[in-house]
Amino acid sequence: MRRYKVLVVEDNPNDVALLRLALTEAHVDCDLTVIDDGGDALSFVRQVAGDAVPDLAVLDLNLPKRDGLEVLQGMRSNPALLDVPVAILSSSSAPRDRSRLQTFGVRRYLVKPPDFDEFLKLGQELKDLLPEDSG
Amino acid sequence: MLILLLGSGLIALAVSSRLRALIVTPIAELAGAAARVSATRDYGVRARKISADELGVLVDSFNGMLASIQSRDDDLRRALAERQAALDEARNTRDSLRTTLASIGDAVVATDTRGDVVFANPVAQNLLRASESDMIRHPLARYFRLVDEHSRESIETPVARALREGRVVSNHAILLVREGVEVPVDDSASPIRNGRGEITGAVLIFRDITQRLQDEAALRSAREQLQLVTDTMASSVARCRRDLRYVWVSRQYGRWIDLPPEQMAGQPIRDALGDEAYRAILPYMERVLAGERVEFEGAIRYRTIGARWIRATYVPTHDRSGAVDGWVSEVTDITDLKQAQANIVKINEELRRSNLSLGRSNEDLERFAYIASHDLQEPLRMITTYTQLLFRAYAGEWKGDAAGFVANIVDGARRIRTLLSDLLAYTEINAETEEPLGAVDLHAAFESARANLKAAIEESGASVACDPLPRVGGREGHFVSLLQNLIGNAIKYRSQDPPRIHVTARTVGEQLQIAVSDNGIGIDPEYHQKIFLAFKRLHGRKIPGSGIGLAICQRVVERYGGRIWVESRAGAGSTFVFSLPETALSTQERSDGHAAV
Repeated sequence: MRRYKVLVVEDNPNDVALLRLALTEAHVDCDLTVIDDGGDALSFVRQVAGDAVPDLAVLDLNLPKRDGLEVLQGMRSNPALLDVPVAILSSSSAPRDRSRLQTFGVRRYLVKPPDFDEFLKLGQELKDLLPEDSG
Repeated sequence: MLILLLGSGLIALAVSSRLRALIVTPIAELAGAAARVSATRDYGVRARKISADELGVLVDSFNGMLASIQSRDDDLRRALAERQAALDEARNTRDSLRTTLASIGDAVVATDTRGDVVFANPVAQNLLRASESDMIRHPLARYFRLVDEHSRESIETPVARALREGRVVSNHAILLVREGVEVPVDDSASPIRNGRGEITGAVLIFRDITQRLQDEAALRSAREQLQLVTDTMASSVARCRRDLRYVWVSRQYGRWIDLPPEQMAGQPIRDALGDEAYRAILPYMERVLAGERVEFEGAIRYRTIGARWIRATYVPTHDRSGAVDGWVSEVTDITDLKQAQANIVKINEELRRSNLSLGRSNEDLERFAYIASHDLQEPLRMITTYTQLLFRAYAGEWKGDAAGFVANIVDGARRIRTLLSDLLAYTEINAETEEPLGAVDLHAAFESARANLKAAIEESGASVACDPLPRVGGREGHFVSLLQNLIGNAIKYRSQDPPRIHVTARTVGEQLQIAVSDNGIGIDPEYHQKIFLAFKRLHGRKIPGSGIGLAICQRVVERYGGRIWVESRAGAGSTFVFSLPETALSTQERSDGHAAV
């Protein structure tokens, strides 16, 4: 089992806690890099390289300063992040957000479930996005 | 003897020669002069006086007699020439009078003092249908019979009155030519007086005025028509002359300018309109008099009626030679129109402003609703999730009703969640998206709605069916949500019987009408309007709902220019109908001409 690096851009610590719980329940061994601000997230994804490149990025859309979409654009401008799968974890099920994201090659659009059991199932879905364990 | 004879002969000779010289020659001279006078009628001839004896006296008296004859002859000749000249002149006068009377257009008849005809010119003969020779020496009254044009009573011939009263008599009457032939005439008779002032006869002049009456009637009719037309016109009409005076104004013109129209003819425009108005329109009057058709609009202050907005057209008129002799002016008072326009502009501006602020507050409201429904979901989710987590984590330590309490919290949160997502859906109906408007197959939308309601349909045992439904222009999601809400309501508000729900379509005029009928509990007419208001619910918690479903339906229908209403009575089922304007039909539907099944 390798230890994955997961970038979480999310400003709600409760959701980060739930996400952590869900990944643990799904038996994903990972380190979370949590950034709770759109501006910081944008700076991070523009210059991240080498070992710091995450195996998965989970983005919320509603963020302070810059929204998740801008962070996504920033990621697409960094060649080191081209192969990193992106999951959007949003509280919005509004189609206007979904349609905008399709053009950015987002792998999963996940709506934050209102139910604890449903939330736990998210762990499994995110696990499926991670690259196969080669080692 | 011989000598005697010779001597006596000689003596005789001498005597005779002497006698000849003394007697025969002067007498022969006299006789020759007399013969010359007789032959030449020249009383200027005179005999030569040869001797101063008795014969000389004879010659003198002969010559004196000739001189006196010569003088009388000259007098006679002169008198004769004068008479002849007078006669010629009289003849010329008579001829020229006759020619004149023959050639004038009026009928002329002359009578003597008894009223008998002495002369009739050709026009008179023609009008009276009688020749001059027929009428001469007969009473004129036999041929010239008049009746009053109105009362039809006989009128004494004017000639009789002129003779009797010794003055000119005029008439306007009907001439009875013969049975069935009547001619309207103007006539005038006057007495003829000689040099001493005595009446010697009368002359009657008359004329056929049929044509004139016709012309007058035509003129009158033209005037009446002009009056009629100008009375009918809303605008005011005036005919004006080069000298800037009115020739004629319509009654409407008089009413408008507040002056009696019949008194305006001939009146200077300046006097009628006042100096200020006159100065304002002077440039236009100058232009029309230069031959130009002038149209203008302006505010003009009139002497009589104050400031008015007018729209006027001046059209030049021309005399026979083609010179501009005036113009026709058509004036429309547009003061009210201008005021109305100004009001409309003002109202539009107010409307625009309130629309703007309405739009702004609508936008604010929608943004608020969007953000609220969005942001409230978050804490709500936290409440639900962490309550469940709490219950899970301390499962063993909870006692009694704890599980029920948790279920209540989660249920309450779920209800709020439904409410918020409905509210979100409601605000998003009018939101613009990049998604293009397409042709929506209502039948497919119906199937989607039925599929979404599968659980409720199965649970209630409802039968949900539809007739063939057309395509319409719009967004499929909107129509799915519309039909789903209506069908869902029909299931929700069912009676004791299993729900039977039927969707039909028909065209009414320019409208497409879709009806969703059920056999449910029905709705009291009192509430038919209220039910479409957001959050307005007729039932308590027994029947779940956010109270926003019909508000969503109404919003969808109105977005496409339609209307939604309900036909229902309590206990008798409901039919929800929504209409869509024909323009909402997709082009494909219009070309197909029939509904897709």
